Amino acid sequence: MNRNLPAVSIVIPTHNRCEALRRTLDALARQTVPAEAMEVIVVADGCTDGTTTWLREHRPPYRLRCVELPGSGPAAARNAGAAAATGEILLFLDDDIEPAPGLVAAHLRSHEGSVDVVAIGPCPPFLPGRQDFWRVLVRRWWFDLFTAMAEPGHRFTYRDVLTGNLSLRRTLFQRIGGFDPTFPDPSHEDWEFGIRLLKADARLTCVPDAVAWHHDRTDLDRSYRRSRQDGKGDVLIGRLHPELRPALPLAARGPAPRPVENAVRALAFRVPAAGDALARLARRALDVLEWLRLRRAWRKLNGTTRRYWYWRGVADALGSQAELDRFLAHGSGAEGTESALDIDLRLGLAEAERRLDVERPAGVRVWYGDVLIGHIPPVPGAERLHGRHLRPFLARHLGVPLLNAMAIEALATSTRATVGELATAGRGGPLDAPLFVAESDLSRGIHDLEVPRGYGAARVLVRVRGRPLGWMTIPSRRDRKISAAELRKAISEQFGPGGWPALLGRTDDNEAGAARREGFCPPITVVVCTRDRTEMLAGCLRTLLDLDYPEYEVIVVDNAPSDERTARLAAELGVRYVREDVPGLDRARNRGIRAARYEIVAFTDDDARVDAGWLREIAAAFADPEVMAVTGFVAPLELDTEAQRLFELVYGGMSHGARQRTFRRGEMRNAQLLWASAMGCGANMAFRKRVFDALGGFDVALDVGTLAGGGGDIEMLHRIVVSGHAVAYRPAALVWHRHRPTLPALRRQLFDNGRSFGIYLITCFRKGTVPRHAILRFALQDWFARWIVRRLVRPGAFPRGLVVAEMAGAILSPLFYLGAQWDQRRRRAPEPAALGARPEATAPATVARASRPSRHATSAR
Amino acid sequence: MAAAVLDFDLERGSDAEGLDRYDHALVLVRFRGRPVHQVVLPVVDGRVSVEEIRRSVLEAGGWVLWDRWLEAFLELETPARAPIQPATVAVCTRDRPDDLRRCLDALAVFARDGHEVLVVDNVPSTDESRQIVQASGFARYVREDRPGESAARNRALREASHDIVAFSDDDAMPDPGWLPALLRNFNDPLVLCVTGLTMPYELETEAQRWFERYSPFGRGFMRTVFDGGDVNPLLASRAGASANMAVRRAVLDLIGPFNEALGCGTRSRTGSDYEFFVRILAAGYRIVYDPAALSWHRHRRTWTELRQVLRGYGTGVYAAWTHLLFAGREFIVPKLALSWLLHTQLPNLLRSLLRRPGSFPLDLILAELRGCLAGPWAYVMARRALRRLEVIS
Repeated sequence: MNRNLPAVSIVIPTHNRCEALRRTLDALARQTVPAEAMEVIVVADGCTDGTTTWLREHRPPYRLRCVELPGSGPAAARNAGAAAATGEILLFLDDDIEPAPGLVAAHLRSHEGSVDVVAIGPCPPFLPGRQDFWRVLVRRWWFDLFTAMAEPGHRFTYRDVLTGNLSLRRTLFQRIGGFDPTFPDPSHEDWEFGIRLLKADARLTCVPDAVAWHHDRTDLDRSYRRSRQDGKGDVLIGRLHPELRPALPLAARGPAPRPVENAVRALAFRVPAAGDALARLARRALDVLEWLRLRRAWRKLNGTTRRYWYWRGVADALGSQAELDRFLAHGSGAEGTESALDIDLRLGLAEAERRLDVERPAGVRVWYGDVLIGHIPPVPGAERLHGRHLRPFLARHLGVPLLNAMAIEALATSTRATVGELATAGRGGPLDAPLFVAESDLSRGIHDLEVPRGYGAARVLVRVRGRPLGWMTIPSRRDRKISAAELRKAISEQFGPGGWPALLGRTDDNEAGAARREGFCPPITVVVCTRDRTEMLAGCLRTLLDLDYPEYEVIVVDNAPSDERTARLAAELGVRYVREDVPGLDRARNRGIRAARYEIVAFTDDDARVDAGWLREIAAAFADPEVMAVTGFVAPLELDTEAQRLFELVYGGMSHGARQRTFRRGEMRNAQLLWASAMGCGANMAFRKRVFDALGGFDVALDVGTLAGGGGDIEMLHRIVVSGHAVAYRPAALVWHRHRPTLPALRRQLFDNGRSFGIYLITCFRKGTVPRHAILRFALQDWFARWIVRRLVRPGAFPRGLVVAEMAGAILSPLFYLGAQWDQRRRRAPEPAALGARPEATAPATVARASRPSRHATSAR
Repeated sequence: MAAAVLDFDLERGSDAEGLDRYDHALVLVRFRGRPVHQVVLPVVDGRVSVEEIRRSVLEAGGWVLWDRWLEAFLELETPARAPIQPATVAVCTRDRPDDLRRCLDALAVFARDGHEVLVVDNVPSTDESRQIVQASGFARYVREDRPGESAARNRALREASHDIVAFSDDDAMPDPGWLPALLRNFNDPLVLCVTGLTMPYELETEAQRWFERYSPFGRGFMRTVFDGGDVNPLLASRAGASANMAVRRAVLDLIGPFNEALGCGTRSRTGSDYEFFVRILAAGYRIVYDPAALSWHRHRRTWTELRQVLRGYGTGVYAAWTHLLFAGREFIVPKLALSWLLHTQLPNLLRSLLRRPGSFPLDLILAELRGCLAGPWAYVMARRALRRLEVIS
């Protein structure tokens, strides 16, 4: 500190408040800073209460000077005081505050080593005595203002610049040009000063130690007068700085219609006489409400009254609502046009903060890699961004998108991170246009996706290390391309929350168990049953021959074929060929089991394509010795036709979700045991061969190709679980299935579903696998009433005709059951002639109908 | 069968073994030391596995854990931001030497960090508490002869040498991070009181498990600020309980002392903390519930004690309401009483009478209702006793 020159000049404007001023000056005498370092300049502005006389006689320990003005307003008074000051640092204090002893020292400390600091000290109100509602409110307002300012991430705006307790260097004050003396009342000249400070990029800081108690004598009536001045002041500010107009409270327009606010504004502009009378009435009512302790009503009425007086001030300054609209229309967002800075959090938070500190942008686009997390918007009248703003803003506003983006990265990069609770975004999607089916595996990197002509959107199966996370539908633009960045953003939005557990960085399972499962690769027999669909079978076999698995065999079971093409295909591709002449899918399956060389037998359909890791995942599940059957995820191969989309997106397709589950009898209720179609389906299942030795093979009474119309697969799964074994559902074992492309075929399939499920239930009833009353209840309540009839009543997007088909199947199922029984008894007759006698009688649509090979069978992947 | 109480850290925790006595476990889950969740899990073969706990926590989801994760990732919590001022820890006790000993053991760590530990012995019948305090070597002993926990707490506020006074019950054992977590929240000058998360120390007996189900102390894992300017002060019971709280000593000037006609040791039995919280909020100040301030409370072991406790709650709440209605002109009290009766008490009673699964034992509900009925008169009697005491002294 310079010996002769006072380091700090304290400027106190005053107007007829001698008592308060005396308290302030006395408190200044008790400062920890030596008195010779201080100079106090009191600007007596139109004082008529003897302030000047008292000042002349007053002999404080510090140097005291008095400047007299004829009543020019606080802005002019502060300017005059600053002009008279000799100190390097100007400290503006109000005359009604009581500085704590450390105040001046704290202010001086904040200016050490910098020239552009503007230090704001808290001046909370000193409110002794009774705590009425108004005092509670006003105290909270002040304290919160300063508590928020003291937060490290606080972004200062001009509204934080209060001159009751503020210091800055004299050079900065002169550069800014001082206060604007055109502000008449004590209203907002400090805010206007703040706007210019911020434009000059001054560094606003809060000095929590520089406390000054504010002996505010305000009451409710006075505060309403102040609100009216606020209205006028805001208009003045908007006139001087048009770019701030959109950010002023008078421009605030909520999203919802606000009848009260509109009425209050109309009153203030159109019929102020009535408005004033109402406002005075409201003031009375507030007292009553307070006596009744009706806090919420009081707060509401007080808020409304305050808004009225604010608008009254605006109306004073602007005159009419038309003028207000013009006023707002001419406000321009000058700062908004500035191009925002891009920061990438993937490069580290410290780097991002450093860039903010160097570049000082008004707004920022925040990225994580190529995923846009969000914006820190430019705020009119706020300081430019600093590094310290970043972390609190991220925590408060961008936490979820940041977590999402990081989770997707963690999922993609970790070798065996937990997948945890997965987002099973499956159902739903646009039905009206063909959807291009694609997949994206995070662990293999996200790449651009080309969408062929004719598709408006892609339906992408998102996977991690082969395991499906779920589906998402993403529209493609005109150039028929979805960029990797777009994909990544959509993935992180949809699957991010499910991936958060990966951020914890510990594995789901214990390491040893996972390693054991991965190394478990017993030889496997794959059985494909087919009938007269050679083209389709060829596609299936090609994917089967290309599996990532050390040792396996493929058996084609040709079921009552009408020609030799399948046999030729099998010979050509070098797979084993077995023929089952009695028609029926379950017979064919049983035939395949008998022919299988290996202990584990996996089944898929001829209209399916298997994923390269299919057998590996199945084997891993069989590492658990109690698991007797494994089922997997069935994805649609294409969604080109309406029938396929209806089946997949509305009916539910054949998918069973992305969550890995294991079904055990002990953990399931009877209804869950009976709802065996929830465990898996025939297009993607595998068994230990010895389970067939113990429980018998597939029930040929429930055969696709017979009157029963299918259901052998779910009956088998049901039987396995009921007899105490475990069935594992592993979504990572994935098969793509081509759904029926036409509506008649779909209707036929649903009819078959209805009748086969009914016959399956009758079979269960006959065998008594679970208590019979439970089956009856399940059949009527869960299946018929809840599943079928409810959809009939409220079909949603699903055509009623299809529900009717399923219901018809369900109702007719007992008849079909009897027919199948009778049929089977006849078929047991050993004469081969009987087989040839009625080849057509049992030809079911589902198998016999030949379909064109899929157009996008492989292009999708 | 009994339930185990486990304290599990999501990152460093290991399998809990040797729990053969228990059939299920209440697991407090922490992340970086802060409580984020609680789960109830079955004990299988005497153990609860890490995977099981992690799975159920992650499945339950909840934002608290991820909020903490984000906070840690962004390094928002800089420990040295505000150096922690020394504070006073006060324990009010009355003839419970075993509990007091355990409590003081838990408080020793705060004494080592330079905080003051004060034990207020309320109308003791023996000298045992004094001996325990003197044997501990770090705590200060004060004897308060006016009966009641309010009187003891007011005494503690007057005797404390620091600005902030943390209160622990004698049957509670604060976690080592308890006091710093409480004190952190006083940065906001409008905060007059901070409450913390109270977990059961043990769930060995039927009575303790029912207490935890019927009226748990915990108020969730989300830090919550109760502001008198926003919430109805009468709903202050959501803010926690006095078994685990800290207050600014300035409350004595700002809103006055604890009401000595309420609380343990008077005819009103409880209600002193509730009435105190209501006054804080009504005066426009704030109460913060911060679950990071963790304390373990040993619930009453026998059924008789449990019934007494619940009866006491009923009495205390109605006594406090009586005071607030007549002395505080809080006309919303009858509405609150009615909604408690219609939405909680009667449905509970009905479910219990119909023996619906999961319903509370009938005698507990009746005990609480009896307590409610006795509340207003108990308050009148407590006031009378207080006045007589004042006349004598």
